[in-house]
Amino acid sequence: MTGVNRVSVGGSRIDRSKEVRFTFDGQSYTGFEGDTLASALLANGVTLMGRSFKYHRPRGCLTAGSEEPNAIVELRSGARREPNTRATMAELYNGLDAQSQNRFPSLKFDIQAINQLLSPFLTAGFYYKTFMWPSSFWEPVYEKFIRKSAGLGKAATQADPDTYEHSHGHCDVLVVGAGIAGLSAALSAGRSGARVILVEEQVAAGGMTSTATDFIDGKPSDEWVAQALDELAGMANVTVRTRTTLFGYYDHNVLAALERVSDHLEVPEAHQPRQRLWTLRAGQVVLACGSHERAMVFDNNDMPGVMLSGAVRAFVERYGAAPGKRVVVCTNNDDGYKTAASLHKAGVEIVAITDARAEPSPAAKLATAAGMKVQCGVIPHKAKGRHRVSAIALQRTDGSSAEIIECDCVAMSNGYSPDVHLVSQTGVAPVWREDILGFVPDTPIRKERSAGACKGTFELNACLQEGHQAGCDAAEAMGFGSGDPGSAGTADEEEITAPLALWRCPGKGKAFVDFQNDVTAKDIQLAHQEGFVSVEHAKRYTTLGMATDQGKTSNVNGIALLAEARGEPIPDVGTTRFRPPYSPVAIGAFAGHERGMEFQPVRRTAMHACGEKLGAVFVEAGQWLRPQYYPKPGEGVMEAIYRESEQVRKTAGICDVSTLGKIEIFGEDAGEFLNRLYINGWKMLAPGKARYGLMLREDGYVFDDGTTSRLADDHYFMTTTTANAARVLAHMEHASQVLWPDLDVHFCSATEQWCGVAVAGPNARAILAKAFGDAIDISNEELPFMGVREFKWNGATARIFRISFSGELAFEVNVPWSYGEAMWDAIWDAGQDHGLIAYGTEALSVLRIEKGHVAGNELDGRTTAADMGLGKMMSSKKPFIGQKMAARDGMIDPQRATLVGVKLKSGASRLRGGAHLVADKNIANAETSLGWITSVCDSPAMGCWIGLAYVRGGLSEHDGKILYAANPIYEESPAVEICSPHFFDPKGERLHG
Amino acid sequence: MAEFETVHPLGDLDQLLADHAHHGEGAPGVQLSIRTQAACVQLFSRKGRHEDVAKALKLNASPGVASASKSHTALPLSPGQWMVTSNQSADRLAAKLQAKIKDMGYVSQQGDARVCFRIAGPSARDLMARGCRLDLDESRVGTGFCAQTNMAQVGVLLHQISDEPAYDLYVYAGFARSFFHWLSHTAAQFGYRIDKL
Amino acid sequence: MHQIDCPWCGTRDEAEFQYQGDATVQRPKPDADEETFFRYVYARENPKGWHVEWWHHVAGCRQWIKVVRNTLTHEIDSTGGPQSKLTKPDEKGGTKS
Ligand SMILES: [Zn+2]
Repeated sequence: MTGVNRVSVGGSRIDRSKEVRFTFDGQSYTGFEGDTLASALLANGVTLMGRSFKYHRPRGCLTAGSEEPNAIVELRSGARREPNTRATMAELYNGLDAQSQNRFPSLKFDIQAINQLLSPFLTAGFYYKTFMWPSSFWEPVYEKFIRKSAGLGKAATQADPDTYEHSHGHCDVLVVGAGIAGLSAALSAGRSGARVILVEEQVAAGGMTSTATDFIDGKPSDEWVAQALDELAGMANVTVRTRTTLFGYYDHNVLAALERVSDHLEVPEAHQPRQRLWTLRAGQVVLACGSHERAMVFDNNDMPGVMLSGAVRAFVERYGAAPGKRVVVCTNNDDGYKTAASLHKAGVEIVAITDARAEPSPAAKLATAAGMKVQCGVIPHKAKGRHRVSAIALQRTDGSSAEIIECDCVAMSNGYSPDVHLVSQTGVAPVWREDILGFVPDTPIRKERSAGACKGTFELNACLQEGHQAGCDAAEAMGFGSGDPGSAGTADEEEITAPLALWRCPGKGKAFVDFQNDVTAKDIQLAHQEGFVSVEHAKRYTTLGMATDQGKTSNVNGIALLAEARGEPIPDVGTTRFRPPYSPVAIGAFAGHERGMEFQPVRRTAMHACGEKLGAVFVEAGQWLRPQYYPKPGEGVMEAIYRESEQVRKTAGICDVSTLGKIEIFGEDAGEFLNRLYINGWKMLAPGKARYGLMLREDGYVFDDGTTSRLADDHYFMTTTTANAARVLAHMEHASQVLWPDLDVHFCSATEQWCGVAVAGPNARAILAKAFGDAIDISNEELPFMGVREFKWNGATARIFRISFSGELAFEVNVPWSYGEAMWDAIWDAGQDHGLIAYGTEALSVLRIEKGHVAGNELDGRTTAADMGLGKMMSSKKPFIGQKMAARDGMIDPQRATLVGVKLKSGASRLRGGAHLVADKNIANAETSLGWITSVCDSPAMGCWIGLAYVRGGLSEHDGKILYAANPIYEESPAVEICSPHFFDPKGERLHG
Repeated sequence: MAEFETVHPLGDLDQLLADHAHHGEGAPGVQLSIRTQAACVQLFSRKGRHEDVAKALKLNASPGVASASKSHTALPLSPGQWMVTSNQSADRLAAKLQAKIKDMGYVSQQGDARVCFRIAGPSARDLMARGCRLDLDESRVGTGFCAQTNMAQVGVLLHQISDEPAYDLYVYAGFARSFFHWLSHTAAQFGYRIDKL
Repeated sequence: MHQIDCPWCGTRDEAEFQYQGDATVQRPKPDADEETFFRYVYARENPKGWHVEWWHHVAGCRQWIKVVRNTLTHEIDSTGGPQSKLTKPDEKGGTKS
């Protein structure tokens, strides 16, 4: 037998033949397979499991489930350390290592328990009142203090070694909760033929039914549950997922659930994730998520050993773990008697049962008949004891004191609150039912219905019927009305006597409402006195219900106390709205696979391996990886870039330009379509020719640029910038589908069909002629500047474009993806006698800056075509997108900043992008700024640092003048000369070579 | 000149297969295959000629269902657009299609732009559920179902090729390695075998 | 998470779409005056309730589809292709069944 408090009866979830060793705060214990950490500790006689958040009061577990506010621990260690885990949900495994939280240096002796003595200062709104001023203290002083004293556990500091994954589920009927109502619903919906998913947070089904006292169809309830699960398992259209918490109910019946695949293991099995996040799309939802028992609010009601009645019952029935040897049951409803009966059956001594109600209910009479001592009209006054309860002082409801009873466990029940979290997430406001003292869901907004305890139905027979009906209705709504749902199970009729409202057992001490956030009954009164009378205000002021348990056990008590303070009925106070997640979800589960290298997919070009072989350093360009530069051994970044750009102009270079967006455009009206997209004309472009094009957005600013070729009368081939490829395609789809559906134009992305290289430099033609041999004649006569040819190369269709971004004699060659490496190799081999080098995006940028070509830095979404010096491209002979707005006064203002070149003269060793140009280097501010530098490079061709910039008044005002490039970050303002942006070969003689 | 060789977007497939030898105990739940040769041609019908093109090629013009003939399979992409796949050469397929539709539409080769992954085996549907948002239950869709969607943040053209079930996933070439990484990582829990197709 | 019924692809998750704004605005004829274009580009209603919107099905059929959606409740009343004429429920005269 493991544990002093283990009883021989019950224990439906444990396997007594399998002992499991674990440690808590360094102390070794033994439990059984199937135990939770909480049940195993209780079985070992350990009730002190944590310290409270604010006052650091000793706490044991209050509940047996996910609503647990007290027993919150750190599980595991090292990279797998997981703070804020509920001991009531942590399933035991061999070697489990748990630490208590909120204590220093130890759980038994906690220094900050002195906060209790300071408690007059730690009342509601304490943080708001204390940490107000001076504001300079907010971050450096107050935040540190608050974090240290208020922070829950510590997160692991190493990367999580486990994996998390996502999965998608679809069903006609989603049933949430495998209690009696949920099982009933799943059975009837499943039998009707609907596709059913049943999710259950716990490891086992059955909910709060007592395995000791409840009978269904003449059998003990656990036998009925097992039979129901068997039947469900036999239906191909039904899936049951346990250890799965439905935590979010979103729009359009999309729900999210967390499956704890491996949390019950020390480490996940090979290739299994730790947790799986399910996105469930359900036709209809049946909410059967049960209810949460409420605590009685009496002095020291948070003492270890004082627990909810249903939890005491669950520990005994599920785990054979008695929370005490001498139990007092304090109740205001019939549930306490169920617990008493269950404990009695397990041989645990019931010292007394107190019932707030004056008249003995039928359940009370049964208990009395069984020999138990029932005191009616009696309620708790105060729990006594140090680290655990040793006695309970009672009082009569008329205010007179009653006896003090020695005990080591108090099982309290203040009634059950239907669990309306999920339905509240859908926007349904709960309505108050005085007969059950609980909020129940109002009319559904979504395709959902509630059944069982979450709807305020507590009688077993009614739960069976209601679940069955909900399953039938949901299936029928999905078109399975003709299926045979079978009949509902029946339980022995039981009569439930209404509970008695008991929101505060009179007393002067600390009586807790919200255990996790240490909110007392007094705090709520205080909040009310100070004017926080709205439930939403009082919640935030006192932090009631704002802990990770979202006040599952405390909200109704809190609302009732606020109502009392306001002197109003509870429905007038109303409830706060619950939001997802129902219970905390690890960030890792949300991320799933999308972390580290899988954070987003990586796009590789066809010639990626060619770059790798040459030692390229890659840079991210959106999702693409592009060779940034190719350092030689011992070469630094700047040297490599300088060498590459210099060598291209001397001999030749090859550059992977596969990432440019490529779009094949077909149709009779393709030319007209391009005319409307681009600012310049396209209809006169002859087949076999390419043209540079510029697109505006509707607001008149420049959108994108690129070269587009006409391959046939009704076939064009567009290129876009790498960054805007997807946006341009979407823009074109808008234009063709929405604006001009009558145009005969068809297009598709060909970005990955084709890969491409640019070969630039004086030797480019010789190299390509050698590489492609007889396949194509690329002489100036056959392929003049801006010429385009299609040819066959090794059986593949290839396209060659005589275009230049570098200002050199240059070609771009496209081949299908699978030919990419072969093409690169062929050109590379051919170029070895011609001084061919590979150049990356940095050298590409140097070359284009030297030519004054605009790129991403200049296309910043705020510039007009005229700002870039391309105003003359705007055709006046045809309408195009952005035309009207580009003509507005502000867009053609001569004082707009326009493109110029800048040369570094003195004052710094280099230029920097982002510097602002000012006339007086001593007065650099927003008012004196004349413009800004967009791109810079160390130019081999010019022998100095140069850059492109936008300057108000442009070249006409500043040509040849000296301005200062103010950069307050580097505290420098070098002198720069303003010049034409066409630094190198301004007449463009080289590219016609 | 070096001997001519085309390269698969996943690189050296033999090496890849060797690196991803059989995972997991017992019979594998998933059979992954990578298609090495697939002609893909995107077919556009001109304005007002959707029905004519569909008739000329005996294509299904409505969404979500592929039409298969001996020589090729056509997956409807959007009104008037299909992706036609075939085991014959891409050039020949494109030429044949263009000849049949004459001036009623256009063809554009897409075979190099896409990599085809085939997912089969008893856990194929479960594997799909890890990344695919669509309802692939046998009560909803069967052989011939096709759709464009996203899996693991990557655009996918999906085609159910048998009731077993087995799926062909066409993924853009640039994403192929990333997608394969996700696929093999996720398939490991079912145990998988991998092959060329 | 919205489930949007694409007229071509069927019901799909909102993650497959890009929201593209107000679908009630009409691009003016090219010869319209500057003020008209200004309103087309910049002026938008921001209705609380029913709205007709563009959702671009980027991960699916790549159609720009119209969606009649309630900006308050996220309820979707109807969807249609790029050239469809959709009516908001509160303009149909009478309540939505
Ligand atoms: Zn679609």
